[in-house]
Amino acid sequence: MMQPNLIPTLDPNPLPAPYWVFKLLLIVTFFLHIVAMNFMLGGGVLALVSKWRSKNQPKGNRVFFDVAKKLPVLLPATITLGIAPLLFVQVLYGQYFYTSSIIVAWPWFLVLVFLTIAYYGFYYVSFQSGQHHGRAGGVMLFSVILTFLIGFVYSNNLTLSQTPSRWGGKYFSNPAGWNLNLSEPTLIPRFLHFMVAAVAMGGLLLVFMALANWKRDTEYARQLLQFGGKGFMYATRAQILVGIWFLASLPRDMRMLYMGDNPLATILLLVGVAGGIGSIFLMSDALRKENIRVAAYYVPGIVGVVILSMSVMRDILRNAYLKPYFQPD
Amino acid sequence: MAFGAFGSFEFVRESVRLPYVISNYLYANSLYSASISGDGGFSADEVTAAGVLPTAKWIDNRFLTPDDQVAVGHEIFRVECESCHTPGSYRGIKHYVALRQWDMSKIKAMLGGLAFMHNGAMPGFAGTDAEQSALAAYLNSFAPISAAASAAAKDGKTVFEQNCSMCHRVSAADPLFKNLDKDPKTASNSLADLTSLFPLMPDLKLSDEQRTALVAWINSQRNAKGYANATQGGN
Repeated sequence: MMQPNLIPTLDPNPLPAPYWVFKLLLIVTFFLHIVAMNFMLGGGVLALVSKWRSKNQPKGNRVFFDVAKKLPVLLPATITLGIAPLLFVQVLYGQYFYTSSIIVAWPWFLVLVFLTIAYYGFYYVSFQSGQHHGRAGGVMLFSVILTFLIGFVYSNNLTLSQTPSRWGGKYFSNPAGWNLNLSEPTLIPRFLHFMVAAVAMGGLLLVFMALANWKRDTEYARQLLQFGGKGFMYATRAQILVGIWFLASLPRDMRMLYMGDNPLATILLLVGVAGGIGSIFLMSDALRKENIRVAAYYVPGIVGVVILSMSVMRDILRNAYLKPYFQPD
Repeated sequence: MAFGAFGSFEFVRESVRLPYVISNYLYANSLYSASISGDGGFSADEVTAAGVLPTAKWIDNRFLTPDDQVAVGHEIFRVECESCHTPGSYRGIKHYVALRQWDMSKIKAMLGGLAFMHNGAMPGFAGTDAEQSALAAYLNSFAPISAAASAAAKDGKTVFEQNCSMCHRVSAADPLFKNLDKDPKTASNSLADLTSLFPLMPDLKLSDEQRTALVAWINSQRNAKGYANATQGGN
């Protein structure tokens, strides 16, 4: 049967503060969350790459274990900074977000299980060192895969929360909550857009570690700079392709928002693309000249602006998806 | 251990709020306890008047026919009960029904008194009479109890536990123990028509034999040591 209107009725009590306050807090806290998540996930990925590429030689292992020691801090930072945007999204978009969370209930619950196991894994690796580090590489790989899966579940839930027209079909075919949103055309590019960004930011984490070691252990710091900077550049190049894919996968009227229909969205996209490409050139130059100042201050500065403009673009996209159902103010 | 500690803390925290999630405002099954402007028709009274099937949003089957009582009852269960009960396991209805040997008509009667059960931990059933029957049909479908089995209890204590204990406690303060006539014959007769005693009681038809046994057991409890302070039962 066609479902006339599945969107839950809002509680008649109004928001306890102006709409824009929550919106601002949502975007700011989401920005902080995504930065912490990127350092954690991207750091984990690059640590594995370093270990794998150096064929378990001490040089690669040192990077691996140095990053691994930061993960038990970065993961809870991600969680803590994630709670705030989670609450704000519930305040502003509860009727969409709660509903999609119920439809994908079991994968959504599994996030906690994955998170707990990944956390144990990161701790295990951070306590290993030197010659006898047992299964540190395997455990790290497993934990990183789990955090990827968490991101994938998030992409499923949040894309579903923006497409109420899919709710009925999914829910009534499986009311017990074993659903994902795999038929969503933007799902994979959107997920990859976040994950590739995480790898790039992981590169910046290594650049920051290079900065911290610059005076004490220049040789090691140079290795970190080169490796992290290259990771950043490769990932950001790949991101341009993923970004184009994501943009192309959007429904036409939403894609056009970023290509002229919405001036703010268009400008933000240009800022994002120009910032991304500019940061690649800047990083490339910094690596050639081994200029840690450029790599550790200017590039992250540009990237910060890019992430912030992407966060606002994300919000514009969500509003566009929900426009048929929801026009606040 | 930490999981256990936090789990039990959360469990208690949720339980003490029942039947509400927001005291005197929103029930645990997301119905408003009183109609307010902008509630979208989702107060308990409005749903009782209009019916669950036309009101609820997340229902696939909006028409009730004699053939799909169980299927529609399941949908009503899903939207009204499943925030706290699963059919078979967690606070499982299957278990309660089997324990108390309720047949379909008794389940339906008992659904009318949910708000009085278990010290008022549940919101009352909201919906039309036909929907209440459909829900009873669904709840009866797990392991159907025959009318004969439902009326089979002969022992007064069992009769009490199966039919009265969800609302009445063995206590001098309980209305049943306080008000029931001391004379066994009068008492037994008075229990023949429960709704005349209190209009919100389920219209249970206990046999003469069951009533006699029940009254005898109630009187034996009244005479038992420590009765004045006893608070057993009630669950």
